[in-house]
Amino acid sequence: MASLSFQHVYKKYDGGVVAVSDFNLEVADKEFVILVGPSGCGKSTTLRMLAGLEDISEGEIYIEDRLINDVLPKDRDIAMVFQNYALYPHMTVRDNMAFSLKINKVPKDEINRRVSEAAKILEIEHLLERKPKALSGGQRQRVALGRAIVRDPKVFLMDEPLSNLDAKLRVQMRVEITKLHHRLKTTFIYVTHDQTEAMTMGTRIVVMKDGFIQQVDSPTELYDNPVNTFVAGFIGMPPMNFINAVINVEGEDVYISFENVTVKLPERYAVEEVMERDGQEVIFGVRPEAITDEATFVTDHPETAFSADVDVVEMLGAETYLYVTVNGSLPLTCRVDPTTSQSTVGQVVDLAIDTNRIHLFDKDTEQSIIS
Amino acid sequence: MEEIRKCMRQARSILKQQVGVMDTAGLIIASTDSDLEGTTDPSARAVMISDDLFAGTADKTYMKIAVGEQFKYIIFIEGVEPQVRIYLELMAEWIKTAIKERGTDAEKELFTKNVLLENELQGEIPIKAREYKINCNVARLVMVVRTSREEGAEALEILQNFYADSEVGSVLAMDETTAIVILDAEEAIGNEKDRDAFVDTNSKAVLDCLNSESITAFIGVGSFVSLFQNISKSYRDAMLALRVGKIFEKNCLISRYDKLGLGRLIYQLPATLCQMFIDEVFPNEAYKTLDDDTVATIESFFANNLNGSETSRELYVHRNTLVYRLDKVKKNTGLDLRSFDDAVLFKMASMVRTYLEYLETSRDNMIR
Repeated sequence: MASLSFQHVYKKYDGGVVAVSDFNLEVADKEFVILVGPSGCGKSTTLRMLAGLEDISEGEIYIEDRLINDVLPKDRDIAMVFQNYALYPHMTVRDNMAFSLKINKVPKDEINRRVSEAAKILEIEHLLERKPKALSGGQRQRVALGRAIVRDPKVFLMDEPLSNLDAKLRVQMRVEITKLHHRLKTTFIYVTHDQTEAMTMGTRIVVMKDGFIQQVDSPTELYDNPVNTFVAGFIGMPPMNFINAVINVEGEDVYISFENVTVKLPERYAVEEVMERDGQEVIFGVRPEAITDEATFVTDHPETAFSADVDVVEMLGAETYLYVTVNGSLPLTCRVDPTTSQSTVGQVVDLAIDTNRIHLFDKDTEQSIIS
Repeated sequence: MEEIRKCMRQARSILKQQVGVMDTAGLIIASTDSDLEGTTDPSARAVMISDDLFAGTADKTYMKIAVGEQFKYIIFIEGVEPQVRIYLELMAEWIKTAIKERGTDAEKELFTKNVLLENELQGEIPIKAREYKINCNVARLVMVVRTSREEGAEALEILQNFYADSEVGSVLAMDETTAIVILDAEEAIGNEKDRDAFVDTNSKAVLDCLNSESITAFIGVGSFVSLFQNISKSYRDAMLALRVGKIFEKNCLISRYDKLGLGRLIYQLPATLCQMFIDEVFPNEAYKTLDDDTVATIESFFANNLNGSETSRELYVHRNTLVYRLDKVKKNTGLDLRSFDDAVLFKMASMVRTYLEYLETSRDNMIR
């Protein structure tokens, strides 16, 4: 169990490539922090610097109050789980779990105790005498986790550990790892490019792009209040709709116009940051679920209503995605309720925007206008 | 010792009695009860002094095992009944065979090393390979795994365990920092996509395996060869990939021979030619006038395919700042990076300069 502190951490390679820039993060003891971002954003490099597998170019990393910049990987009291959960094929599960302790000359009694404890936590006691080839994918993944647990580390580091699993098993293991975090009560740092994994597992999420932290927040805050278009677009599936729109101020009322559609914004948008942009272009962000075809809502909110052509209807059971085009040129995605939606392909449908769940971003900086 | 431990592990599932093997000083090196390993049996001295092959105490029977002309080990079993002596004799034969096989394994390893280092005559390789039961007509791929001196032995042990009992890979120690993984690549020989996936999967698996034990490693991947006689080529290619990768892509942990790009060309050039090229592109060492920010800007500009808007967004600088920095590069070096020809020239010259710096450092290290 340990807190972590990253202070102005950089990773620079010869030739000027900067993989991680000014990374600052405080991780509390027992937190489950997810580093998420597209490929090449620096998330794995950050994790590897914490693990000691990459040198830190600038800045400092602390585990508890101990500066670990120059501490050998083995002495950092961490355990890592990677995408390839390489198990030793000729060894039993017990021996696989004990392997790293054996090569580190841990006494036998202690090894047995730790392996038994880890097996109990992971509920794989009945598998201890089996060899990896006799295990299912999920069981192998648990053994890989067991190998990390027996080290009794202060911090668990996981680098895309579920990427090699099929979709069904990935969902199952996501739950397992979350449960494991609750049981172990240890600090977890988890790297993924999958925003669903990030949203469902982490207590806090660090969104990264091009080596920079974009936003650090809880899943709910990231979803509801993204600081820029990158975070807004990266978090959420289907992604947020981004519309180039113009702000119009009439007295105390604020309107936003796009493709012959004018939508009145709620009173909370009648603030200086928005009003001063009268006549200017902004990026209008609307999540798919904030656009509805529900007849009552559309009738009750004529100030946000508009029509669109339905191009594709995807019925997923619990929800339906409508892919529509406004004014023949603006594509939008809507997530609607299949129990009330009557929309069909080729139809012109009346839609309305729930303006309590919209976002405005600056056209140039792409940062959120209202914080 | 591993072969004796393996015998003991197998004996555990056959015999009810506790069995073990100790050296002549009494140190138990393997036993069906792993808790006994590392402990000492005081009876060893008496057993060794005895003229008989067998000896006994109140609850155990002992037997000396000779390897060659000398007694090297003592095997013991729980019990003093007459049949336990038969068990001991059988176990002793089993262990001797395992030790002999181990000797053959060592010879086979030495032979493979010699093939890799081209110390075997090409014509003799298939004949000797047959002796060691090596199938020459299987496609193979060599990976070179480089670690630090301190972590070399541990990395080797991990890799040997990773590929233990494996039909698809074998591991050799080349020196204290270099391990060689020879992979059976028959399944990947079909098409380029399969080969690509094979290299990707296997190299990442090795890297993850070592990293999860907190060991830093660099991997060089050679080319596919269809005959065992040619694995020296794959080894040479893997070594070259590792060297070229470390020069031109320092952030890259896995360097593939088939993906060396421009680095492969530049690495083959003579130093004098490289220096002439640098003097031509950067007269008066003009590159030395570029500060870190400018170098980072250029890298980002190249990474964004000379797109100014994307570069300024990525670097969080105003477009005018980017234009100013690019103008500065033009003023100092005479190269306008917005022009494709100049950008190519700059990119190549930067790589050549990196190579010359590497040569200089290597020379300095040799002198030291």
